[in-house]
Amino acid sequence: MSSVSAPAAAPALVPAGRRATFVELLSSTDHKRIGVLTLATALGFFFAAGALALVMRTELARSGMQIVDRETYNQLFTIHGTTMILLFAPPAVMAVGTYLVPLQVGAADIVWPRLSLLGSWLILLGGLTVWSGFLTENGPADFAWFAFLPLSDAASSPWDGADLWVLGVALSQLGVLLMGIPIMATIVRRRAPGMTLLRMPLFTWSMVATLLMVLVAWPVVIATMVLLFVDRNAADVFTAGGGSITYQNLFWFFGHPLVYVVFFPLVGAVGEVIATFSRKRFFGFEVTVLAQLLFAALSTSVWSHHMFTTQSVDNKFFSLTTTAIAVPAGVEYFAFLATMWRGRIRLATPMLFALGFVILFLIGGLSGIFVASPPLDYHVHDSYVVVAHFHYTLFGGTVFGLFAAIYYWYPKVTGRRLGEALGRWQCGLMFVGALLTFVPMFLLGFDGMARQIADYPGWRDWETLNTIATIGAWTLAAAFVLFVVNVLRSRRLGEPAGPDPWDGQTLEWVASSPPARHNFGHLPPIASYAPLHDLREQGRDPLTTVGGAPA
Amino acid sequence: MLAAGTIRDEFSELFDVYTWIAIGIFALVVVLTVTFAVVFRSSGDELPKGRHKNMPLELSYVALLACVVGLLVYLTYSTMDSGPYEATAQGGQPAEVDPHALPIDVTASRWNWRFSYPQQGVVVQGTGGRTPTLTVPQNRRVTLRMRSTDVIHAIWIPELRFKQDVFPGFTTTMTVVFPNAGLMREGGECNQFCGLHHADMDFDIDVLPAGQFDRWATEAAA
Repeated sequence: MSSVSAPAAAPALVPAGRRATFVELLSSTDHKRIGVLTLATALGFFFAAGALALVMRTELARSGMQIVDRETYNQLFTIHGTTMILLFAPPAVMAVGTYLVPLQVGAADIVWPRLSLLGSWLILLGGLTVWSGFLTENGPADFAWFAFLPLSDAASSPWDGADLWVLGVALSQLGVLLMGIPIMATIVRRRAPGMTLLRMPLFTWSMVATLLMVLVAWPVVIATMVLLFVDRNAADVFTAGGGSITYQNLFWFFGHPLVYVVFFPLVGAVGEVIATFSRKRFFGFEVTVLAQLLFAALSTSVWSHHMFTTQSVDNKFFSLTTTAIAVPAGVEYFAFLATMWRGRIRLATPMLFALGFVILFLIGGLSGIFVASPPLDYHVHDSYVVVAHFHYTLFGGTVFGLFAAIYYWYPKVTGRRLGEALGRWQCGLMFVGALLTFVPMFLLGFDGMARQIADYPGWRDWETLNTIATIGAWTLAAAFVLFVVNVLRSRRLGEPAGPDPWDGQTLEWVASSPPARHNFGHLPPIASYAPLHDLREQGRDPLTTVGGAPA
Repeated sequence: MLAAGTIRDEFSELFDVYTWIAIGIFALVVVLTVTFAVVFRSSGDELPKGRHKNMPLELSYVALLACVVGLLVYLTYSTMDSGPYEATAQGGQPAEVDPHALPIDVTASRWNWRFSYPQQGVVVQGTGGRTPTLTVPQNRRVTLRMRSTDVIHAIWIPELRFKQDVFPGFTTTMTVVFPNAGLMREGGECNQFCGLHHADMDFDIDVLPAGQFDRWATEAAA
């Protein structure tokens, strides 16, 4: 059937009252199903890579090798890093975008849903390809997630697991790109009448900035992986073309926009959560949107700050562009705080996760300003300081932001709320765990502990700090167990949410929970980026006021 | 003979400024976030009044941020142009040449180090069971000319607050001064993941006063 002009009242493909079968879940072209499927894939990889981290942290609690050997340890951090940054984070933001963007712009469906579904399958297939290295004789790739040449070439890493890694990364990142294109096309082509660009919600705008970076950076990583595969299996590509430095330039040209891609949409989500739970509209919307676009533009010219110690790039230039990132990032923080100022704040779980994001990501951002300075980076580059820094951006930022989004939109997706008490405990344990795990790493790294080492000498007094970090990692594990319990519990005991449990401000909250196959029965008038908030200010009921034509 | 100060001194000065600014911003944001969450907490249903934009305020704030960034970049550039950093190669910037610096050729091979002293005719080779020692004179510039025979490595000397990568195919250099005599156990580390035994690819550093260094070189060459 055509998804382009289907009437809003089209019957659901799966009759009400029956759960979708597994095949229906895997093959639906409904953007909501694709979003849920992709998020399930991403969270599956998140928990699997988290389990690898627990093994590593447990090994590192004491000097000497206790539970794994060096080779296994090297495989563990390679697959942990690869999975978290390539198989969990970009798919997770694509999942949230695929689910929410059509709803937020008042569309009945996503453009090119089959392309989106293909992308989701490729992510799963590519991820399993990377992990299938565990089934090969020599195990999975063990050359770190950035696979620098010549360590990743056929001579140094002749194992099958390495080829599976290269193929799996290429396939999964092609999947991410294919999922991104339909979201962008939906934003461009399917906005409801009245939804001008500056009336798009903050989350949707953050997806625009994100997808601009995806369109620039992802073709580069796919091409780089194809070249690496050819280099490993057919003919020298990189040796002929400038070797290891060329590879690093290509990889980080992707790798730096990447870390903003997995963070921006969560800035948007956190911004919406803060606005909703402050009962105010987001402060400084236009400047924040402009800041995100500037941020996205800058993201293509900062990559060589990963290469300050290579003697092959202009350190001053990349230091300047990277430090300048503090301007748009600072604008976002200002907007968060100004939105809370004189609001009527409710500290429900989504808001708690959002506040955790604000504080923990700040540690990541501020430490990022340090490593943007070459003289400081010459000391801490590739040390545990950097490990701590990027975990505050990726865990404090991406993971806290994702859980703010999950707790906020879960009622919309499932029709039921998650439990508040379990949610508070999860948030509290994650916050404490994030401090216990990663603060010691700043101290260890400054004192000389390099990253990606299976062991450290016993005569160094590093065991106490490492043990604290290990306890923190297990605290995080406990938090995620609570999340799983909360989800399972909500399926039967979750309080029915209704369409708008939080007094939301954007269009998705007028759709039923979960939304019907084609999302909306009616749309309210759209006069700003917070259309439901407008109606509330006018004393009208957002759920019954009909304004825009059905999408 | 030497410009005053070492890389470590310059590093610490810059690091302190960055740290105080970071602590200030962090404390400010945390205090504001927590205060707002407490003070403005409310279960009431009516909507708060208030502005949702203030362009002059927002643009002044952007200008303030730009000034902070400008200050940090200025301090960073000044540090990069200061004596001890100027003496070594950084990024694409070549080192200022010091004819009095002691050259040492460093060869990295998985998973060990070889130090060769062309002026003294001394070669120190690490082997599987033995961590090699880099012996250097105190308070004299030492230029490490580094190459790898296989994959990328890096030399990090945490005590000096400095590191550089070591590549196959082309030479990188680092020019540093060791101000304190004595043995630094595992004072040098490989800092670019290079495979199976990366974690063990360390070396000791023995810093000797000038006279003692010459005696060591003569004995080692014999």
